Amino acid sequence: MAKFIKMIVVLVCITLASGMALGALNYVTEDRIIRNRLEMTKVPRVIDIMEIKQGEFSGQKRAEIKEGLLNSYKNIEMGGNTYNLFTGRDDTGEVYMVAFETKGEGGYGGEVGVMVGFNVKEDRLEGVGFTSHKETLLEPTFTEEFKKRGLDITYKPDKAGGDIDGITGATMSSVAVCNAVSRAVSFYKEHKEEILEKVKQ
Amino acid sequence: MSAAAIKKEFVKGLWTDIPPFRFVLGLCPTLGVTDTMFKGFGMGAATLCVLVCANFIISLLRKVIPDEVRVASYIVVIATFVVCVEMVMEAFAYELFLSLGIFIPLIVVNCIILGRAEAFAKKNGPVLSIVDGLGMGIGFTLSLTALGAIREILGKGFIPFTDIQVLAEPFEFFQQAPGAFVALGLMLGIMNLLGKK
Repeated sequence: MAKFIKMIVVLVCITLASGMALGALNYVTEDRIIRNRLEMTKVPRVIDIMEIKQGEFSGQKRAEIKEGLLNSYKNIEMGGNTYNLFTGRDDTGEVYMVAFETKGEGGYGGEVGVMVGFNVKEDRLEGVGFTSHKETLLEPTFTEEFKKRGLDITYKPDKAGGDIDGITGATMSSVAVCNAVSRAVSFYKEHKEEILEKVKQ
Repeated sequence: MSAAAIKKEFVKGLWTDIPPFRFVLGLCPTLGVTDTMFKGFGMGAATLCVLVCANFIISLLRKVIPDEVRVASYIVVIATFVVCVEMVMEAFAYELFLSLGIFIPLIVVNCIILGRAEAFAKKNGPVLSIVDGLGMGIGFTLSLTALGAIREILGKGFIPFTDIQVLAEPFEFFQQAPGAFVALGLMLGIMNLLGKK
């Protein structure tokens, strides 16, 4: 019996110490990690989406826009989730696009993170970019399928009866991306007013 | 504890017991992330950190942990350090973090680390365990770096970190998974030739 108790006590102590150590390290590194994710995976995808309308940016312009996006992004909390909300401005400085990231399940390697941009003036999808995924066959050109599409089409691969041309041989990856996009679309449709309100603040 | 004993434990990991080549252990990262020298080195360094820290803690706790729960305890300790390395890397070496991807969490199941805990840290004091971890870890890092360099030179045709082209038509095969096996096999063969007694 004493041995049994010792086993439990030792394991509990080790896991407790481990949990505390990780908590402390998380506290130290969290800000930098969030900043890295924003700077190096999320913001570049937003800029890619903005290039659809405004043409390719020069290196310097890209850096300026990046700085602007980093300074102006907001977090919105809805339905228990936090979204990083980015606002894209055109040459005149007017807001024409909002973008945020959603996750789509069902991929070959788990969830796929997708940055989805909406054109608020014309009320349509502006474009998408992949932020995090472990798919081996997810072609970067698949984003072309989502350029300037309406909000009322069915965001599913054609094989599943939708309006998106799926990637040949990578049905699961296509499904996961479509899941993420259609989640973003319904979120945008439902909360458009609140999102625009947030942007103006 | 003599200096000779410390030296012996350190040196064995560098040649006579060098993990991927003598024991053919830890092959998942050895084959998976060595398409460039930089990735091979990064992976080796991450494993080195985990190995040294885990060896140290496990040898400190070796008299406290009951034999029946030792493997569970070792895994908790190892997993903790892997998550630490992952967080530090994501915070301070983000590009390396992105390129290594799933292979960082997989360090938990790298059998070299559990193997050293079971074969060495369980029976020896903290100083020797650190030295053992350092030796094995450096040996592993050198192996991955060398394999990465070979695959990068043959597969991409450039000397790593430079613009010097050595092969006009690189063997792209060496950048892919089967090429990793072939490169590893060639290295094993050379090691065996050199180590022949």
